[in-house]
Amino acid sequence: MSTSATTLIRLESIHKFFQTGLTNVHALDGIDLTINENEFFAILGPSGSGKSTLLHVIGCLTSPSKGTYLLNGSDVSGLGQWNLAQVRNHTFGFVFQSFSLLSSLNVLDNVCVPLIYGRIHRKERHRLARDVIGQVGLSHREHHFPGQLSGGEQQRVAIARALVSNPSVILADEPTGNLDSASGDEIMRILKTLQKQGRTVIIVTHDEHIAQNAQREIHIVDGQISVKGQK
Amino acid sequence: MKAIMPISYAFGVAAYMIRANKLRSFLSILGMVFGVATLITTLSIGEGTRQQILRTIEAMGSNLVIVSPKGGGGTTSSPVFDLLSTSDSESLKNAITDIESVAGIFNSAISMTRGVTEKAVYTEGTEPSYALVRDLVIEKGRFITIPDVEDASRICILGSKTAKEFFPNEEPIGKTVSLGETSFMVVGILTEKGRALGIDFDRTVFVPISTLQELTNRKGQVSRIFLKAVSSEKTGNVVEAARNILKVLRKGRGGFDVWDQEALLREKNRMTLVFKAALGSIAMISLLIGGIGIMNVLLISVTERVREIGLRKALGASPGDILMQFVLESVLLSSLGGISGVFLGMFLGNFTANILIKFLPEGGQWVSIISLNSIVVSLAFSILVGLLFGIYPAFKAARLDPCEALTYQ
Repeated sequence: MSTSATTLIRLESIHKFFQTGLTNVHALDGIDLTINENEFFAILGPSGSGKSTLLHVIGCLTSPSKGTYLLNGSDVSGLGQWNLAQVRNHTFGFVFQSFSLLSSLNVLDNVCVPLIYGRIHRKERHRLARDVIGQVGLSHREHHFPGQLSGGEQQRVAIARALVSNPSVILADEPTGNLDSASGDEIMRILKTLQKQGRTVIIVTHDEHIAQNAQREIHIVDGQISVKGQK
Repeated sequence: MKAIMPISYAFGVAAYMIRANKLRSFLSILGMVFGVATLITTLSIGEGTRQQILRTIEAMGSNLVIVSPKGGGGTTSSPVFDLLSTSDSESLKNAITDIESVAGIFNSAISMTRGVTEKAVYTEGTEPSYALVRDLVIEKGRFITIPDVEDASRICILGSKTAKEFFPNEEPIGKTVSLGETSFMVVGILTEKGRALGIDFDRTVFVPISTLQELTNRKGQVSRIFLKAVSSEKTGNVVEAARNILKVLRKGRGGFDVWDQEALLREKNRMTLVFKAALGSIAMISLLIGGIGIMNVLLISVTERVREIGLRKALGASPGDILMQFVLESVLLSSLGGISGVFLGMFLGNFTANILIKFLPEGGQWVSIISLNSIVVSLAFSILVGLLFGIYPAFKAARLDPCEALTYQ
C-alpha cells in the first residue's frame, strides 16, 4: 500500500448484531479496516461469514451496532435514515449478485432510478443515464426490459445504474455469481476499468479467482478478519 | 435540494402498480366505490326531496297561513269535522289586520260522472277568495263568485287534468257533470298548477263551499282556513293573531293548528336532514370499510415488494420517498374508487328516483339532484380515507431496514 494513498473508509472495532427469531447473531465481531481511495478491494469469505454484512455497513445500508465508521473523515455511524439515504445516493453505487433490476422498467428507466432520488430533472436524468448505458455498451438496449436481456447484459445495466450518480465507490456483492465465465470476465473487466478511471471498487466474493483482480483483499470468517493480503 | 422526489414519478409508479395488479386493485376499491355511491345517492335523493318539498310549498301560494284541526294539518286531506266553522273564518277575517284575504274550504271525495266516465274526485268547497289565496289561475271561464256561495249554486270549476279526462274531445264550459247524485254545470277550468300539501290541484274539482256543506249535511263546517298575509314579514304576526283569536273563541280549548309555510319548510327540512344524516352515516361507515380494504391491499403490496423497497433505499430513496410512494398509491386507489363511486351514485340516484316516482300519486315528480357540493364532499372524503388508511402501510414500508429488505426471501 502506498503511503501517499488517501484513506476513504476507516472502520474501527465495528460490531453488528442481528436478532433472527430468538437467536442473536453476532455478524461482525470487531472489524478494523481501512480502504483507500481508488483501490480495488476484495472481501472474501465463505457463506454466512459476515462479508455481505460488512459490505452493507460500508455502503451505509445498515448502521454498525458498535464501533466507528469514518467515511472521508466524517463519522457516519450515527447518521439518521434520511442522511444515510443521501450518502448512499451520492457516494455509493451498488451492484448485486441477482442484478436487482426493476422488471417493470426498461433499461433507461432502471438506470434513472438513483437520479430520481437524487432529485435530478427528467431531461438531465435521461442524458446522464444514456451516457453510462453507452459506457457499458448497451445503447442499443435502452428501451428493452430486464426480461429481454441476458444475465451479463442485466449486470451491465446494474453497473450503469451504479455509475449514473457518479459515486466515488462501487460496491459489488458477488457481481459474477449468477453469470457464466465469459460474462463474469466482462463484468470484472468493466469494474477494473472503473477503478482505473479513479473510483474505489469494493467487491465481495467467495471466489479466489475473482479476488485476484483486486489490489488488496481480506478474508472474513465468523465476522472477524482472518487474513489481510496485499498484492 | 428538494426534500421529496418528484410527485410525478411517485404518481407514475403508483399508477403502474395499480395497473399491474388490476384485479386486486379493483377489489380493493370496491368498498370505496359503494361507499361513495351510497353517499352520492343519499345526498342526491335528499336534495331531490328538498327541492320537491320546496316546489310543493311554493305551489301552496305565497304568504300563506293555514288553520287546520289538530292532526289535520300538514299534508293530510282528511276532514276533521266539528272543529272549525264558517264563523271562525269570518272572525279571523274581521279581527286580523295584516291579511289580504281569507278563504275557508270544506273538502270531500265524491264520485263524479259524465256519460260513461266515472271517478272519485277530490272536491273542495270554497269561496271566491280562495283563487287569490292559493294563486289559482283560471284558464277558461270563471271561478266561484259571491252569489254562487250565497245561492249554493250547482256550479263547478275543474282542474286541468280532470277537465281533459272527463271532456277529452269537447269544450267543458257550460256542460254538466254529476257529483254524487247532483248535476253541476262546469263554469271554469284552471291552468295547470301541480301538487301542494298532498293535493293535486289539476285533479281537484272546486264548488261553492255552501253547496258542498249542504250536499254532505255539514252546514257551517270548515276543514281548513287559509289566510293570505299582506307580506311574508307579516306571516308570523298573522299566525300569532289567529292562534290567539281562536283560543279566545274556543275559551282556551285547543284542537287546532296554525302554521305558515316557513314552519312547514323548517319541519320538512329537518326531516330531510335526518334522512340525509341517517343514510349519510351508513355511507360513511361503508367508506371507512372501503379504506380498510385499501389498507389491507397495501399491506400485502408492501410485503410483496420488500425487496423492491430495499433496492430503492439502496439506490438512495429516503424513508420519506417510500412513505410518499405508498401514500400516493393509497390516495390514487381511493380517488379511483371515489370517482367510480360518483358515477355509480349518479346512476343509482336516477334509478332510485325513477322507482320512487312509481310510488307517488300520478303526476308526482321526483328527480335526483346531484350538486357539485356532494361530488366535492364525496371525493374529498375518499381522498381523506385514502390518506388515513394509506399512512400505516406506507409507514411500515418506509421503516423497513434496507439491509434486511434486500436479503428478504
